[in-house]
Amino acid sequence: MDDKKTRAAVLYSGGTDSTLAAALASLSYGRLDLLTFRWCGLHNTANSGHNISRLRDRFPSAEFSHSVIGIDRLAKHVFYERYLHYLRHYGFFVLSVCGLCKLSMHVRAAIYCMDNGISGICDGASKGMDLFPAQMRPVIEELKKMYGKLGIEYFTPVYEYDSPNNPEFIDRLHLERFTDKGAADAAGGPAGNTAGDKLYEMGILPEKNVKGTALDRKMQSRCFQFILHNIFVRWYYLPGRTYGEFEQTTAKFYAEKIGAFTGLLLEYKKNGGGRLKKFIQPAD
Amino acid sequence: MIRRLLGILVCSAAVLLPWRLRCLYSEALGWTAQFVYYVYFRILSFILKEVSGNGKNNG
Repeated sequence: MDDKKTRAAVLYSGGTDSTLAAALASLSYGRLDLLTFRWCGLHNTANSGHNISRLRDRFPSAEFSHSVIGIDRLAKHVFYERYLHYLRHYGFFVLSVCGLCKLSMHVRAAIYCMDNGISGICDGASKGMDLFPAQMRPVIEELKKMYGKLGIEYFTPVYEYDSPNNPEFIDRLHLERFTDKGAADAAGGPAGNTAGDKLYEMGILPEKNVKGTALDRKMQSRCFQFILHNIFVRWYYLPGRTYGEFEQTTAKFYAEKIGAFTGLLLEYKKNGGGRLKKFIQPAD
Repeated sequence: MIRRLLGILVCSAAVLLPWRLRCLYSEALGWTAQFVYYVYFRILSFILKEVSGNGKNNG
């Protein structure tokens, strides 16, 4: 007997984490809607389709569909609603672009789920990326509450996987060319239980650690918006404060933001529209 | 300290910018960082090659 649940959505960038999330979700769900989002800060979103044929080949019992959805209007609203209030209370946290971008994607994904009667959603959130708001445990809990109020289960199947050893600048110089040491020591080396390892094991990726490689660039969108978030966190915030303070303020900021959008999503669910309707762009 | 001041400068400009301009501002910062990284990487790689004696014209 097939005990698979029917349908789930995946926030899908095409990178290793979201590809693994889709692969793992396909073990429990019969149909997966892979959702890629584009806005003015993201380029080459078409790259996200690179691994879908591999997923289809590897998991023939699951059905994969892929949609690219514009979120310019919605993201602008997420970034700038009650801007002065947030600026006054949280300062430069209004520049945590990566978290706000991801929140816009979650809000649009929740609308997609409600429109299509989907009761499960997942993404490639991973514990190793702890400077990114949407990958912090307290923010994930708030997102789960938001989806829960809409009758949708949000899960993060990749969260416990290790992060790959990102190749350091020194690795990229390939110093092994000038020594007797082998190439295995270069470019990050073995990492262990990472999303890349698992995808390699599943036969979806040709190498274990593709982060930062040409293949990685072909698989997902290009984004430079994160640089503002990085400057805010690494140059401005963390040199004067602790990571704990950063996590606490981020959680508070996002709890307030997510709370505001939960209200709007409940209104959407109740009325089939409401104030959010004017920000919704259809899938391509 | 210098890094924090630079951070304040970059962030202060960014909070004042509207939507599209902020996107372009981030793009510009991204390309600048890429360019600086590329030049730094190339120079260091060239120096390493010459110092190691693999350069063709190392006299």
